[in-house]
Amino acid sequence: MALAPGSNGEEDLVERAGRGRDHAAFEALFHRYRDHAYGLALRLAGDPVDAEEIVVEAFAAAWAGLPRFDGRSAFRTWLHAILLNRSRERRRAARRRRRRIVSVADPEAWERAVDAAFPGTRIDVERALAALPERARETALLRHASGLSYAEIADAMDVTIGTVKSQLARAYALMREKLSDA
Amino acid sequence: MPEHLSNDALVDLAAGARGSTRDRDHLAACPACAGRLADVRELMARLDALPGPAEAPAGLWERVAERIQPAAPQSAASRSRPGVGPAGTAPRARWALRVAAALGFFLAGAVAQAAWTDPGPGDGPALGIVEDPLTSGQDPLTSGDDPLTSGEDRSGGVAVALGGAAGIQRAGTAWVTAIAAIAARSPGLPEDEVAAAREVAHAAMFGAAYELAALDGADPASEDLYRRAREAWLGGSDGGAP
Repeated sequence: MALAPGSNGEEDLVERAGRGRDHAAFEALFHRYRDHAYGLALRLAGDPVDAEEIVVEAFAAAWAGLPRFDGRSAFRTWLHAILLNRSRERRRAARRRRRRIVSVADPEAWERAVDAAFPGTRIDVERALAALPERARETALLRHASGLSYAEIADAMDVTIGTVKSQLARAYALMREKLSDA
Repeated sequence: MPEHLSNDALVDLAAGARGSTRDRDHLAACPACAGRLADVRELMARLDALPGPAEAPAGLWERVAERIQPAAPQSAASRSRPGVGPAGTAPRARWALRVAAALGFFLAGAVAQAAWTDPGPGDGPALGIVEDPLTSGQDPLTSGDDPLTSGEDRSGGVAVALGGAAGIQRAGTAWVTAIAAIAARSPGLPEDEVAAAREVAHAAMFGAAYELAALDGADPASEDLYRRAREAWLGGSDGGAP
């Protein structure tokens, strides 16, 4: 299910939150994107606690960066980029601390978390997604779970459109392999 | 038979692109590529059917709000509370004041140096924007907000005033050294308070480095921002992660 592009006065909210430092406008933006951000963070992190932290950190960073947000990309694209960065940062920190990620360390806990967060989801597809290399998984999630265009994904990930397509092709190939093994 | 479809072409076709004549001709004549395309389309349909949003846990906004609220001004009652004012005797407050004094001392020197070495109009630091985080109405040992994400540009002015990454490293090292010197002269100070002061120093200097990277054109969506900020500060610190 794709995330609808920002509309309904979103530009005004972004302007008020960024230039006017209006907390109420930022709270409205938060509620607009909260569930989508949490869903993405959960699939990126594989752990509900980490996902919450990623969302909180990403929105706090968005608040700090909004005065410099120039509107060249859509707010949702920019927010996705921040979410990806916070997720990568946490993964790097976890690796530094040698802390194992739940999706790797405890597949059952991961499966329960995904099932609770996305009732009725196809767990075989979720499992194949979770097993992808980081960049391929991020690209596939932005394309299919968030519904971003190739250009928006390229913008959010700071790569070329060609790289987006290559990562998608890689993701599809690896997922097909994984699903056919299952 | 010409080469099989490239992965890029396959992704485009599966997403609904018309494709080139060459690709379409190849597809019509190549059962293997037609099968690959059908597989990819089927997988894409399964991925598109995945739910995107997940109900976020309650209380997330409160946690965000906590991070982005400006520090509440100190109330008159707390200012006059015994033990936290200049006349008080709480070790925690005394320690904060000592650190503030050390910070104020080296910041003043750094600002003066920055102003001296870069006095050009428009480029040089405006002394009015420099705000000492330890003397701005917050208790540095109890305000747990993260300069990286608190949203209040306390550190941006400091970063400019310090004259860039080298200034941040000099100032940060001086700060950490000052804390160590104070701790050495006050053996009765609890270790956790010394550690907390070091945390404040690390967080503030990382915040300054972060703001410097942002002033340099990066934004929070830039993948390099955190790495650059970390390098700017940790390059001159004693290695503790902020």
